[in-house]
Amino acid sequence: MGHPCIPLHPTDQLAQGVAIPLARLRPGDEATVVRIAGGTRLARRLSALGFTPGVTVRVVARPGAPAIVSVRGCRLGMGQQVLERIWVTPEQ
Amino acid sequence: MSCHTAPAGRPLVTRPGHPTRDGASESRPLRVALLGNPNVGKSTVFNWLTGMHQHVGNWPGKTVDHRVGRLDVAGRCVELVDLPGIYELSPYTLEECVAREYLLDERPGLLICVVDAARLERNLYLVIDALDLGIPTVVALTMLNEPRDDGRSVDAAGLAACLGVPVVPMDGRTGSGLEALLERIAAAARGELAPPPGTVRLGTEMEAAIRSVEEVLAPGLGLPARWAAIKALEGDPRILALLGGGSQAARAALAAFREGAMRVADERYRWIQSHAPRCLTAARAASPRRWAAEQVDVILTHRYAGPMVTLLLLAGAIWGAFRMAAPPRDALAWAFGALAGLAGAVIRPPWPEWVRSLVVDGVIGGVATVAEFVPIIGAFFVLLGVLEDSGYFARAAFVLDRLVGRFGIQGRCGIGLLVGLGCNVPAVMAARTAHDARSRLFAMLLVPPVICSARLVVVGYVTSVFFGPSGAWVVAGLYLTSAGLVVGMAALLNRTAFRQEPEPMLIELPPFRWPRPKDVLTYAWHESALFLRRALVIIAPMTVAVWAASYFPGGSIDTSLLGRVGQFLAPLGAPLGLDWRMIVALLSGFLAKEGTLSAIAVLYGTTGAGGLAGALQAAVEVPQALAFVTFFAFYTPCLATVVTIYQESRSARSTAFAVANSLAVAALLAFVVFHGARWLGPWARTAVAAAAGGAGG
Repeated sequence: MGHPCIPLHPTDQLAQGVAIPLARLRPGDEATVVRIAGGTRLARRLSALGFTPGVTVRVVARPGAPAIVSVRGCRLGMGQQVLERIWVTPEQ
Repeated sequence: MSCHTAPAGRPLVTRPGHPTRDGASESRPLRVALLGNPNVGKSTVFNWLTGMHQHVGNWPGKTVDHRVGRLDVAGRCVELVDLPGIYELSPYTLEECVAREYLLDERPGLLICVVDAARLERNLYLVIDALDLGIPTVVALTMLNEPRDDGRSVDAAGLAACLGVPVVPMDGRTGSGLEALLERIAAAARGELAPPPGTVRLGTEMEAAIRSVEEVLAPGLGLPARWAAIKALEGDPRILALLGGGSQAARAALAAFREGAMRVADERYRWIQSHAPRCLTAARAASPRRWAAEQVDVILTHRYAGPMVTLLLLAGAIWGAFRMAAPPRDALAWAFGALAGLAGAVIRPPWPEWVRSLVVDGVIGGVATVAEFVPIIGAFFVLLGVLEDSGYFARAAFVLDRLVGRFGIQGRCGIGLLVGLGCNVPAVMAARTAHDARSRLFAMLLVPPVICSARLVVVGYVTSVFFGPSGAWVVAGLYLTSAGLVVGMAALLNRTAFRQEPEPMLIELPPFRWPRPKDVLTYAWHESALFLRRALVIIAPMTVAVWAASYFPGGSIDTSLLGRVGQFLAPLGAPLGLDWRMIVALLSGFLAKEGTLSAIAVLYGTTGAGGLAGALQAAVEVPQALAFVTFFAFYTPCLATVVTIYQESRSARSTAFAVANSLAVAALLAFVVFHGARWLGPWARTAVAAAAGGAGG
């Protein structure tokens, strides 16, 4: 968890504007979606649910690996695998 | 297709106060489909329109609820189909396939898109997708109070102008807006509602791509051209398969378009983002209600508190459902008992004794077995309805996913398994809340090892006879074994028959809402009726057959055919510690597990000193009793469950697997327990005595 080589939080080391997976955000963090990795079913479903480039998302809760994410006025429960697929730039 | 029509002869609702044309009813009903995201109040609109005039079944060959209702609008018969709640018209989930096939193949005369104003942007996505089908469309805008409470204003006319189709604001609680919706249905029935004019246009580049694909599409496809072109650009496998023989030009146009699905989604949301603010003003300040709802979610899904709250709530709800079902169940049992007593008194010599037994034990007993299931199933569907409509189901699924996900069991499936603790039948039926065929079958196959309450009654009785209060430890051990079996079976199934990866967790947590009692009761009523229809044709006759086997030729179970089968199977039972009477009791327990007790009573006799308990203690050794309760807890699920597994899965192979698997597991466990107990016997007896002494002191 606390390994020094792996920045756990955007404010730790990453400069703003660098895309990171949504899985790295903490509760309360807001971010802008940059892209969805991969071109499969899941990416397609995520786009249809509103995760398109430019949209603002917010992490409502993070009970362990999964998270509750708010997007376009809807809350979604997402597993780690799903969170890893969404690349975002965090907002300060 | 006949399956899309409600049974004939159902009285039709006539709602007064509508313009009638000639008063003459046209013979062909107008088909109207209800489409919308999950949890937007679609069922509420459906129930308002149809009342109790609805029919619930399955879509042909699919484990998806198929709800059809009929009503009479302006002298025209209307057939209303409630399509499953979906997010887009893609062919990936079972629900989407069902909705899409219906819209494409049946071409309803009117499409009512139910849109949740509180989640307008995301809801409009499906509307835009559906508009391209070219079916006359009306948007029913629900949940208007929620954005209004947040100080946002909703402009239905503005939305209608943007989309180019009528928008009817509705209130699910009061039914306001219903008349306006009926007016629109009447207009569609008169042929006065035109297909959508196509006012929704995507970006220039996208439109050019759509046009180029549209031009080269094979004309004989029989699909709406624009919709098919967009789906082809999205890389929709089913549409591409249809285009398989299409022209070189079509394939070239598609090949040039990369990541189509995401670009289409992007373009649609761009359109929504530029138009939605005209219809729904942005919130001026952070909404306190929204904040509160988010805090509730934070607590409900908390890392440590979440699982505890979820398990307590679900356990409480299941217990509550049981308590709710008990009085009507007792009343039914009393009524059938009285009926049996009456029949027994009326059928006297010269009628032969077997006629009396056939009527009393066979026919009345069989119908009673089925009827006594109904309150339990009804109560569990009330419970599921409340969980689903309040929005809590998704939270519980989210939390359980974290608990059981590591075993390859989805959270939704976990809720079904908890319901199975009450009764396996609704647990199998609850498997339809999963989103794909794989998860459904998987969820159904995991249910049988869950010890239901009927099994607990028998297990509890037998263990209390042999172990007194410390029998609770045996019961606890059985529940632990049950949990182990579920986890083990999940692992086994994931490695063998279900090697396909389960879907990663992605569930919407819909807004919390008070369930409307009428919706919940309607849902429970129709699901129970579905069970009753299926059960009466299969379970009741089977009960009569088993009665015959347990009566003839001797006139009593120990001298009957079933008794002989038991004696014949005795050598098989011996290594498991089961004597022939136990085997007979287990055979009769297949009908309904609690029936095992009455068979035991007949076979071992209740007349001696100490009644049945004394007779059992005298005739059965402790290791045998342990083996019996173990075998009983896990052997083949009861007839009602087996029938339901077959009806839901439509797969004889899966049903046979469920039965054979549980028999094999039960036999193996009983074997281990029997020999283990014999081997550990002297030691265990001291331990049990010590435990009993400790409990007593």
